[in-house]
Amino acid sequence: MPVDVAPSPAPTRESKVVSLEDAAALIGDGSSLALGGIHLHNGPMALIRALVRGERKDLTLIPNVSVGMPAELLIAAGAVKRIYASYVGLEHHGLAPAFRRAGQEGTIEIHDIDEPGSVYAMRAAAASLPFMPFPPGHKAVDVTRLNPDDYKVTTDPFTGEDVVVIRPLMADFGLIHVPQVDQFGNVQLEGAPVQDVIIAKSAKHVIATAEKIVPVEVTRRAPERTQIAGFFVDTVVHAPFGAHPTSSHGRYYGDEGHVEIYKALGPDRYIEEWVKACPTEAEWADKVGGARIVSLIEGMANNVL
Amino acid sequence: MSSDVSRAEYMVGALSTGLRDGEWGACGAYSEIPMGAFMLARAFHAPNLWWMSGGGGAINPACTLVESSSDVRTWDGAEATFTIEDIVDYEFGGWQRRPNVGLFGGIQVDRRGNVNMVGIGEYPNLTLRGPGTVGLAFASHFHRSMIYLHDHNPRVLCEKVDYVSGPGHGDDRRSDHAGGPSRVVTPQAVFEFSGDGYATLASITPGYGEAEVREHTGFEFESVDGLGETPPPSPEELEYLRTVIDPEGRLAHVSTGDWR
Repeated sequence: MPVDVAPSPAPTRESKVVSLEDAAALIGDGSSLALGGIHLHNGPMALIRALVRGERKDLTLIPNVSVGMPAELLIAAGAVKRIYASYVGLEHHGLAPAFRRAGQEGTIEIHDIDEPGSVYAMRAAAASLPFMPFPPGHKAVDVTRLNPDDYKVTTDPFTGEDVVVIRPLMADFGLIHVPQVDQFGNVQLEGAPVQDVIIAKSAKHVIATAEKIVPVEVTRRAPERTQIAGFFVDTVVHAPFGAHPTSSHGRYYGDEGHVEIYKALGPDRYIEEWVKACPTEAEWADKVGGARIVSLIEGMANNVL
Repeated sequence: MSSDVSRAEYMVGALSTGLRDGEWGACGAYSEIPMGAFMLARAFHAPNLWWMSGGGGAINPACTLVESSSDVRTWDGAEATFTIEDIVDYEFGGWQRRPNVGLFGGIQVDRRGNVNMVGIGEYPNLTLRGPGTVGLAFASHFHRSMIYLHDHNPRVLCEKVDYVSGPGHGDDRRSDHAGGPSRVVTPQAVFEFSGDGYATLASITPGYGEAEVREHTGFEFESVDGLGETPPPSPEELEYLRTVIDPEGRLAHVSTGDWR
């Protein structure tokens, strides 16, 4: 896909833009991945599909607090060894079948965490903290007992009371999908940042796939709108419609009907009949269909945002 | 009028009457019913109620009901936005600023109001792998909470949850300021918690009887004196609910188990 990037005023500065395939090739078997977005929104799906097509194995997932299709698809493809799970599900579409099956059959290692634990583990990684403590009372939440690898109880040195702490979780790669980024990685969002900023600050290598890549001059017109400084973004990919079937806030709605297709086919058939049947994202868009794509874009365009 | 009130509308009404003016509240995902309750309460009896729409990042949304509380439509006309990191600060520390209330559901709820989302069975070899604990971890930090369920059966409403995601009553490990659940709202009934922290049947959705609710509930409970039917939203509230909050009629399609 051609990327229209205007000449930079600093010609020696390096563009971070690469192809989707080249970005996926950075991610080797056994890597750990933080996954941005939330539920059926802003998922880095084009990159996830590229990893499934490339038959990646033994990945560790450190997803956002409420992950849906991005984690579900990798689990469905047998690409996952371990997941730090605050919530894996399909929200109003129900339980996530591949995650449920893997959890019940013990084919992946699930580290149960909770929402504050997901954030605190990334916050600790981002700020180079040895651990993050929780407020008093957190021992009442059973994940702190069920997951002794990641939660510990220690002594608050100020009060002498017990305090629950969680370890830092630093992913090898942070994957986020955004509406707009420039060639140097400055990200301007058009909807919920959810957990994307702390993912960008905590992962070792951040890949931003984007609906649109703009020249840095566009970023400069409104720097206050840059929520993720390009300093934290290592690789930029032009991936239009790359969040599908999740929404791209500001660009198109989530494809609720597609999630029902996934549920009806089941994980195995969906991987074969959809992901592997479409070797490129252009073929993916063809299979989804122009009318469907336009309806998702029109829905968002009619929004007041 | 009440004969055509859907069970989801009864649930919205029962949650709405439990919300208080001046509080701030939060709900989780798949939240048409609690979102409707926040909107209805603000319009009728709690104009100074503030609420956060799930993980999507909108405070006091002005949209009509949507299926996902993270839908970007919740940003339309909202008064403020927030990130997941903000949620942790608000829901761990926000109780210090003004009274707060959390609305959430789960795959199991017991008579003490403990809520489970981890799963059912012997950990880690669960027979039902649940989605995970997510924001229920904040339950032990809200001044109080209300629980809503899309199903009412003995597997969901059980004697004791297999795992505690959201802590209920009678647990001395909970935070001092956390009052625990005040109400459980199901398609069939409303439970409230007695002074000693046990679920007590407070009212029944029209169409069900007390014996039937007992049969559908996996724990023993007492009923309030003069047990009656859950009142439907008032005609004015229903009109507002159907024309302003939910003009697309989404509540009519929300799963509420078997209906006769």
